[in-house]
Amino acid sequence: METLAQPDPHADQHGSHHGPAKGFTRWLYTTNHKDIGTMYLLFSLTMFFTGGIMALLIRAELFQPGLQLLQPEFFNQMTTMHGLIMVFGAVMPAFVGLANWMVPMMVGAPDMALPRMNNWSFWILPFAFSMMLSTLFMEGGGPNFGWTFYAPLSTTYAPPSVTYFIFAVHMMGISSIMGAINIIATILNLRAPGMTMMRLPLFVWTWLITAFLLIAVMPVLAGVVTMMLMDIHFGTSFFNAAGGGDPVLFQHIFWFFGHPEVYIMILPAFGIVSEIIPTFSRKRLFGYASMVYATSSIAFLSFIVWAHHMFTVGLPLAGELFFMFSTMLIAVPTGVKVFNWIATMFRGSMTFETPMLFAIAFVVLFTIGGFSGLMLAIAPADFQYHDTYFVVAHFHYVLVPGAIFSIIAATYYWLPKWTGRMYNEAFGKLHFWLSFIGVNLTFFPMHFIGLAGMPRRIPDYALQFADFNMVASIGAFLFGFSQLLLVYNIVQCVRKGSPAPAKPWDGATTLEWTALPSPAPYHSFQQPPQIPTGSSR
Amino acid sequence: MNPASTPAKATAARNPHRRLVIGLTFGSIAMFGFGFALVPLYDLFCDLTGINGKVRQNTNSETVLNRTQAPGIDTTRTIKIQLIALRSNGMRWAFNALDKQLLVHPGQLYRTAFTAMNPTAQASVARAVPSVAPSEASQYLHKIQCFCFEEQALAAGASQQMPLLFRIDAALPDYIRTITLSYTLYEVVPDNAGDGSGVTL
Repeated sequence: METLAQPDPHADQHGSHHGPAKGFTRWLYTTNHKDIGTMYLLFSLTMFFTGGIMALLIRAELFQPGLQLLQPEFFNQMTTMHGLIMVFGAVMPAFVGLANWMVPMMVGAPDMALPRMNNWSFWILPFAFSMMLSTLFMEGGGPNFGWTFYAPLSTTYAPPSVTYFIFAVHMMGISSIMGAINIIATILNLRAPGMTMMRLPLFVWTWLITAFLLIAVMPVLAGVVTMMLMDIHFGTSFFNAAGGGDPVLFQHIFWFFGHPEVYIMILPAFGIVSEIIPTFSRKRLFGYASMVYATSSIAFLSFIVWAHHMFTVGLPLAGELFFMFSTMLIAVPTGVKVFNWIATMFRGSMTFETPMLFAIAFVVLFTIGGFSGLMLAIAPADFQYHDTYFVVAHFHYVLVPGAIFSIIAATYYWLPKWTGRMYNEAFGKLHFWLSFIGVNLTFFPMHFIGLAGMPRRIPDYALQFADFNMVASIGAFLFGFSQLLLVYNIVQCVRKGSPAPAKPWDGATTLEWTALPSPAPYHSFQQPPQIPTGSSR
Repeated sequence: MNPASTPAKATAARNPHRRLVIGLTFGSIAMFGFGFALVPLYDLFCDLTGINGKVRQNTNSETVLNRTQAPGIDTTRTIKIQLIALRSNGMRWAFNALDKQLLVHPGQLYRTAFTAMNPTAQASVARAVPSVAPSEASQYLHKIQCFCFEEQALAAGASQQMPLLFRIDAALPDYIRTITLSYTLYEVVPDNAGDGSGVTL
């Protein structure tokens, strides 16, 4: 930290420079965006391994037909908790952590707009997840109704611990909403002079739109779990047909939240990839403005497609057609993005460092997930695919080599800026190739067994699915254990990495590389940086 | 928004934050309310479009009966009406359709009934929840009288016939030849049922 303080001319003239406080209270009381970002990322990593262990338990049970390791009741808890933890505990906090670290530095702000609220929105999370995980040890077990917690499975037939689950969701929702408000305030109010909206790095743009999505839909999630709570404890009948309610109503409200939620988990990934690909192609991002508009269109469309998750509940024909076509429409802005990434790489001076490898794998594998999404969008075909492993293959292709790969890419990309040290490139590449092979081995066969009719969320299966399931399980263990390499690489980087220059990546153009040393000082941009006016995109 | 006006001056920066944060907080509270507003909106939408197999209640039976006398009986078409009686979990009454199947002409008024018997040792109250398949047919189904309109009470060991008086609209599209009316009987638990007045079916 102390060796490379001098290179940057306008990094710090402030005499009152002070570092972080000492001891545990530094982390408890901190309002520093870098500390909070680090805590978010470490929390997310912990949850990633927690959810990963559950995934491996699921895959171990599915290694062979028949029941070997888990009881069906526990298997259900594992599928449910795996989904909840990965969505709310791993992917979302990782993106918020990246936003905390990078957004202020990318827009030239000294910190987040509301630092105390920032502290609060992080510290809610460990309590929310402790509460949710504690249900696994309660009588009747934890949530076992799938991460979508459809009523009446989650109301009438739920284990008694469901109330803990409901309050945990409330807390996560409050945390996400506060985080989103903070990010919007930072981006709209704290940009350095000259940093106009259309000069914002794309990661900042995608996060701005994501934050608005969060504010729009997390309260709806809070509403639906509140209705569950009232049905369970206060005798209302929102979802109970005997009292005049309707269980299908649950699915409508849930997916009104749920579909924008899946874009909340992918838009920041688009932003990360849109930073990394230009850097390692040594070209400007192709079609910057179209990227912004495409992201906004995807966000808008996400509000009018929710019932494509519910084609089989008995929608009227007009509804099926509307949701089918509006869903297919999303392929247009998404296609714009994919073509822009490819056009950025086209005739660029590309190099293939670890972040770039993960980013390219993101483009290819996310597109595969997008195509299977288009297949699922076809309402008549969806009657065959619904609740099969084809759906599992689809959303794991967009979430694992999509969201997770982008988070890993971002970690390798910004690790030199965070720690001031380089990671080991050879081990980074090894991590990439093991992950890439593991992910495809796990999820590609699921397309076939899904099309052949294997239902999801069932601990046993018919004999003809045995071979592909065995392949998927082997792939899952390969992928899961190769993530230990990520931890090893980070630890090695922090401890023994060679010192990183302020701008280790040749083609990087954003402020955190051009205006700050590595590692970024504890307090950055106390004086707003000069934005070169010619650097318009 | 002019970013040049927001350098490190804390006092100047406080005001825009406050307005923005109040706005965004209000927005998230409004969306919480919108989640709940979806409940009546959903019922309204189903009501207007007749989807979800929910049928509008014709309480004013006189006007409906008058309309049935209008020359609208289409004897050239015969529609198959299937009547299904279901019991929810834990419902101990016997519940059956008197006619499993009826052949009807659109426009004509028909009467059938369901039977219910309470074999238990206590009196209890039940409510039947109707459903129509295909859902498109629900807007052409006019129920003049239905036991599903109100709660049914049976003393211990008692039984009763519960009438259903209905007419299929002559405007029923040609391609619908079979309509299934299914009724699911739920036990009304006294402490959370209230007077049932808030319940619309």
